[in-house]
Amino acid sequence: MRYDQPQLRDKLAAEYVLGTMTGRVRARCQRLLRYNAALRRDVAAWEMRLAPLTDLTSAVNPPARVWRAITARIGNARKKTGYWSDVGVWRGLAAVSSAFVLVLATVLFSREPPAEEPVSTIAVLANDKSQPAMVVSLPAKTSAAQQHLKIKMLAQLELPAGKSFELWMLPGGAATPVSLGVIKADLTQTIQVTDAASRLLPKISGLAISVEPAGGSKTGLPSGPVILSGPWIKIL
Amino acid sequence: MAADAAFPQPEALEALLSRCALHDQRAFAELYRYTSAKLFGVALRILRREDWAEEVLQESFVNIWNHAAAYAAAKSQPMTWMTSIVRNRSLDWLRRPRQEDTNVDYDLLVENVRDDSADPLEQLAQSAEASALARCMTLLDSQQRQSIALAFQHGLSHSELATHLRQPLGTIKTWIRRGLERLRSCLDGART
Repeated sequence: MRYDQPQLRDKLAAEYVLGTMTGRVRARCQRLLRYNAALRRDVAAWEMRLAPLTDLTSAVNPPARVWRAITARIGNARKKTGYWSDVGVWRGLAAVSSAFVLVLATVLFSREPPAEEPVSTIAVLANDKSQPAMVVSLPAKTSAAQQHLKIKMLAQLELPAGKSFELWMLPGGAATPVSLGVIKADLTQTIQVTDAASRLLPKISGLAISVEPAGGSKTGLPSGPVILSGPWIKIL
Repeated sequence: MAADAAFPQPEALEALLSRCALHDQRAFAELYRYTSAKLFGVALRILRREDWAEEVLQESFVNIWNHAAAYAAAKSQPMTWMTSIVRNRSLDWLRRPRQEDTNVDYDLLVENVRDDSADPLEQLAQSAEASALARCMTLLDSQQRQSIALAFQHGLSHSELATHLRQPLGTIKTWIRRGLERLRSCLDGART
């Protein structure tokens, strides 16, 4: 079958979501799904169409041992692999690393040297496809009282109407993210860092950007989708 | 349903998933508290064995934790996204090569299904999407409707449907295919 034909593809997606396929056909379809973005979209559309049928299924409380097994497993995974290596957005580590070196070289060396302050710590934030999209850097030798972060977008990010981008510090471990405030959609900008945030900055493990209601999250924690994240790396 | 009264809005679940993407374990615990009973129900219906459903629920939540960051890209409702993870894992489990041969007795199941699919559409009216689906389901022949509901909710394959609805395999495949086509054109027509 030729799955680049929209109608065949849609039929395959519908049967896949309905779940009537044998194991062998299902496995073949899953292999196709890995490479075929159009098929993934069709599958998502069918999941949405049929989702209300789930309303007919009654809820049953699972025994407490299920939650214990889950927490044991995510706890172990983190001890083994560390904080950043199991973050979903960080999958294409190799791709990001090489891009990171390029970006770093650009930031550090390629612009008018006299105007550019030396950088002490830097984060390259990547999207869920591991593509670098933003560089956040902390200039060296700023006094603790008046720290500021420089933000450079590598491509214009689309800001949905009525929304704001908010920058977060990720303390790592089980600690919750701490806001650095709302940022503009401008390609380059500088934001002031409060004293409290300045004290936390040297200790965090990463930064992230989420999409929030205009003016920033109402809850004090990220409430919208996290679109970018990356580790915070000390270089000076 | 009492459990549904406390069921949070999609926005609240979305916020919890965002925090899970940042490895906030408290948010994950809250997400589990809100959604695990519904998702366990989904797995249990398809797998029909508690030990299997427990295993699949565990796998699914570990998966949700590890891939919460991918949710932002999924562009679907949080519950749809999580339910799809659970359904896919359940179906993968059920369609393992060895599993397909063991003949679980479906007769009791089919009796139950006949009961609750006698008028399942009345229950389907909680959201706009649900009432659109309910309306479109009424346009299907009753055989088409029954085979689609059985397949989606109970994870029956074509051949299992054929056995238990006592129809030739080709007939079942046709019912399903025509039913899905009609559903699609009805739902997409309703949306535009």
